[in-house]
Amino acid sequence: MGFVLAAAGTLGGNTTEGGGLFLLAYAGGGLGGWLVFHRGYTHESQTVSDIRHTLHEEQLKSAALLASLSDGIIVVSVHGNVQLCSDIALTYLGAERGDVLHKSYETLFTQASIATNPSTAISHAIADKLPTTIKLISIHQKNQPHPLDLSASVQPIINEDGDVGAYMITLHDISSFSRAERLKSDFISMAGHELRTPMTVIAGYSDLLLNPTFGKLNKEQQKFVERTKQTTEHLIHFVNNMLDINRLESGQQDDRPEVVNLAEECKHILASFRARFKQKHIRVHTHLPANDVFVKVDRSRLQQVFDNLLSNAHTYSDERGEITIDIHTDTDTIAISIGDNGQGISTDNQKIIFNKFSRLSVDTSAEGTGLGLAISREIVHGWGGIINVESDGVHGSTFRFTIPRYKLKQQKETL
Amino acid sequence: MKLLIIEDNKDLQGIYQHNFQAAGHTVAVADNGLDGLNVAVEFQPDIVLLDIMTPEMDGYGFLTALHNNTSLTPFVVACSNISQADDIEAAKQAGAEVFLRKSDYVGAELIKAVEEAYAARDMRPKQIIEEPAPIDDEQF
Repeated sequence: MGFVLAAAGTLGGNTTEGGGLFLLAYAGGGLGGWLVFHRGYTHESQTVSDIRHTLHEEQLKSAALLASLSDGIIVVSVHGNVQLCSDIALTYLGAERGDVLHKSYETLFTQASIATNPSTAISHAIADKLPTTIKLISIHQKNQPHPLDLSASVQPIINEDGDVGAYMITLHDISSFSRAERLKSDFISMAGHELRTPMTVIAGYSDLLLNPTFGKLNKEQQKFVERTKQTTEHLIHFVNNMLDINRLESGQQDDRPEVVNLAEECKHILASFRARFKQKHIRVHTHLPANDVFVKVDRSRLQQVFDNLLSNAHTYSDERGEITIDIHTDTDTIAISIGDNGQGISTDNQKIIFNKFSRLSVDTSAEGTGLGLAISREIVHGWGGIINVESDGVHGSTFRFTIPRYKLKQQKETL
Repeated sequence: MKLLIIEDNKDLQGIYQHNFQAAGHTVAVADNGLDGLNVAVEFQPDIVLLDIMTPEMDGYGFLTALHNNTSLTPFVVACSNISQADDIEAAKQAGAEVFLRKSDYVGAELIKAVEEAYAARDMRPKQIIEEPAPIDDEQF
């Protein structure tokens, strides 16, 4: 039986000040080990027996401390082996101490009930020697209607030499937060769907009033009804976008992926914008790949991203402006850029432009929902792609997004 | 053309009816799937504009009953504000040819969408998804 000092600290010597963070693996016992904050009470006059006694007391204190924490604590070595796992952590993970102690931390997350495995994120944190927080580990527990949702923080434990001595993983129960999120999401979904029908009715009656078959309006009346219809349609568009971002943020997207010829789809979408571009005398330049390139995504989502970016390019282009669509392919990825020579986006605005409701101060006259780019970002991230914007703040802006390339069988054979 | 509108919201039912009649179609209406089934047998519609969420019998029930109990094969346009991918797929599986999100189509847009879909009914496979062949389903 004995204690093994796993992280650096000061033990012994003349010090009565200072101290250190000790990780003690309690070998041969059922407790696994204890995290001890040790503040200078050692003295050279102390005997080994005294030190043992002190350590035992500290062990008991630490055990009580760990047991009282509502968070689960796991300590892993720099090599990724579990050196300590508190009772709460074991309960959260549905694991037995004997099954995980001194084994790779990955064994902590191999239970079938764990829906979201954080192992990859933890391995990145260990490789980078940087703290990280994984938002959600979802664990389905027996006889419970809702999963247990945890966040996992990985914190390097730095020893006196400034090196990483070990890593502490803290599991925090965020189930109540998740439940609140679900309630919010359900409320938005319900309210949105309930709002859409009456709004469709208002737009429908406005449309009927504008139909000369049912009687002619005077000029003023026609203007009022047209405005009613436009405003209602804008509201419907807003609610649709709100429902969309709500769905995407809940992780519900891309349910119907299909193989899409990207250049063909791009031409098809551009055709639907032709009248709007023509109205502002905007010239459109396209640089599409000569050969067929394919992506496997939900077609309506792809159209949505194009639609959002082209709508923005149209809105922020001046009369007689120019819009350039470029599709660049490489082995695994396709990059699509949509650029305009409009007013540009400042560096500060570029940082927030993909956030929800980030209508920029310069665009007060533009009609939008403030959700289009946030939706686009969620969609592109769902594909495993990236989306960004480049602009010098004066001479237009270029939005770029990527999609993993999908290769047909014959294309794979030739590559 | 003869068009049956199955829609439980009386306002929308009236708006659709006015618009399609003004566009020259013969229209019958029903408040739910069960009424719709009875009207369909009498009316023999070319097109059914079908709300999915209706009381008594919903759109899916209507499509199943229509298929199992009658020899009618109208062109069915499902129309709903419940429009997630699963709902669209379920409506198509049940026999709807086209799925329209209700809030996106009012007045002229709805007539155009329905007429165009009906005109194109014989020119495309029922499943709109067209995958170039041959396809290896594995992502490279």
